[in-house]
Amino acid sequence: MSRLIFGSFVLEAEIRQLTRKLAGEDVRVRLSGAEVAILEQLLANEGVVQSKEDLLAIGWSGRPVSPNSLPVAIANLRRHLQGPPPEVEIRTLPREGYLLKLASGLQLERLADEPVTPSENGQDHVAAPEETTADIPAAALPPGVPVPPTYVIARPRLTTQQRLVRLNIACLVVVVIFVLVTVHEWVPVDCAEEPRGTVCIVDDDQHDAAALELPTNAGQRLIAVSGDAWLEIQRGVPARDRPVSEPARGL
Amino acid sequence: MAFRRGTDRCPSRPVGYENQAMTRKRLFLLLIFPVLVGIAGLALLVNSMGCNYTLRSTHRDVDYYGVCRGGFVNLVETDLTTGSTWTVGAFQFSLADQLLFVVHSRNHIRESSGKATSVLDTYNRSLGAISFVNYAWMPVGRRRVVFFQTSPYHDVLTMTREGHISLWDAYFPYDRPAY
Repeated sequence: MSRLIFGSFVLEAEIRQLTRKLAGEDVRVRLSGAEVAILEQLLANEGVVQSKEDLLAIGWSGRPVSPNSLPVAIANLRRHLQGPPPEVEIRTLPREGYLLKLASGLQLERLADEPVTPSENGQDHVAAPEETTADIPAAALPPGVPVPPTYVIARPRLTTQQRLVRLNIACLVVVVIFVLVTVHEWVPVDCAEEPRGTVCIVDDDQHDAAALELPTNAGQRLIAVSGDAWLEIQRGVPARDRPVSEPARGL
Repeated sequence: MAFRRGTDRCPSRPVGYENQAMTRKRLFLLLIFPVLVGIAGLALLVNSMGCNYTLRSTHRDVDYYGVCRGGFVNLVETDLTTGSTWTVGAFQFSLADQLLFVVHSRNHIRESSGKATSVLDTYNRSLGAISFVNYAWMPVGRRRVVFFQTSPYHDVLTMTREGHISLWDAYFPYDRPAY
């Protein structure tokens, strides 16, 4: 679990909570999922204009929403982030989008150990500074020089489309395995009517059914053949078979 | 007061509508394959769980009595020569005329009466906890069924059954070869 700290604000995205520490008192606000996603995007790209289309796609994952949804979400964020003192400003740039400005720095605090791995496609959208006092000894820095922040790459949030692509790949793998196993294990049986009766043979390249000594006298019977084993079935007569050398095995 | 569509106060299409429509169409297309795979898997499972039969056979001095309910098969195998008896539990997958048994338990419930080792003991003890056995089956009479096996060796055995092998077999019984 991680949280973003900017000024007196703390954003805990996992639980959608924005906390402001005022005079030793915590004021907590519950945000919607879209508001959290938009605020994260604006914080991660502080000072960079974010287009309305991008924010709509990030906030609502491509779902169709009313034209007022984004302005309403921005207005809600402004209301939650307003001063005094002014610490965060979300500017509206006509026909361009929105821009977030911070009076102080941004810190990413991880409460538990989380593996941080860079994404393959380089589309990580959060690059938040993290305090690194543990890495750089304070004594090594001259007095009055702030500890420089380092940047960590947060795990990118998968979009619905990315999840569906992965689901398709998983389904494809399952289908391919199923088809391969089925083709390998399938026992094909072909039946043909002959003068000696109906002969049903397991289609097998390793055995020559013509070389088998099957009953040759004409009659109404069914001869079932698998490899070297065969079984003669006549109506009202117990089945007669030619046993193979292997013993019975059951399931 | 009512706003007219297409004006600034009531645009006919929301912001980003074109992109959202394309995204929605793409998501719909991406859903088709997983849904079809899910339906096919569910159909296979439901068809397999539709079994409701008993099988009886005596084949090379081994007596078999099996019952399948809801896809779960229990088979009692008795070596008529030594008296050794095993019960085998499995789940049956049924696709067309093919049967795949996923065996999950083998229990030796009666020892051989003499010193001779039963062929059933050797076979059942040589297999692991979970094993796969597959057959093709064919109805050859009102109650008689022929099973073809190719692995681990070729064999043909006939069994007497009561009931249906799968849900499909219950509603659309397979044709019997003429003889």
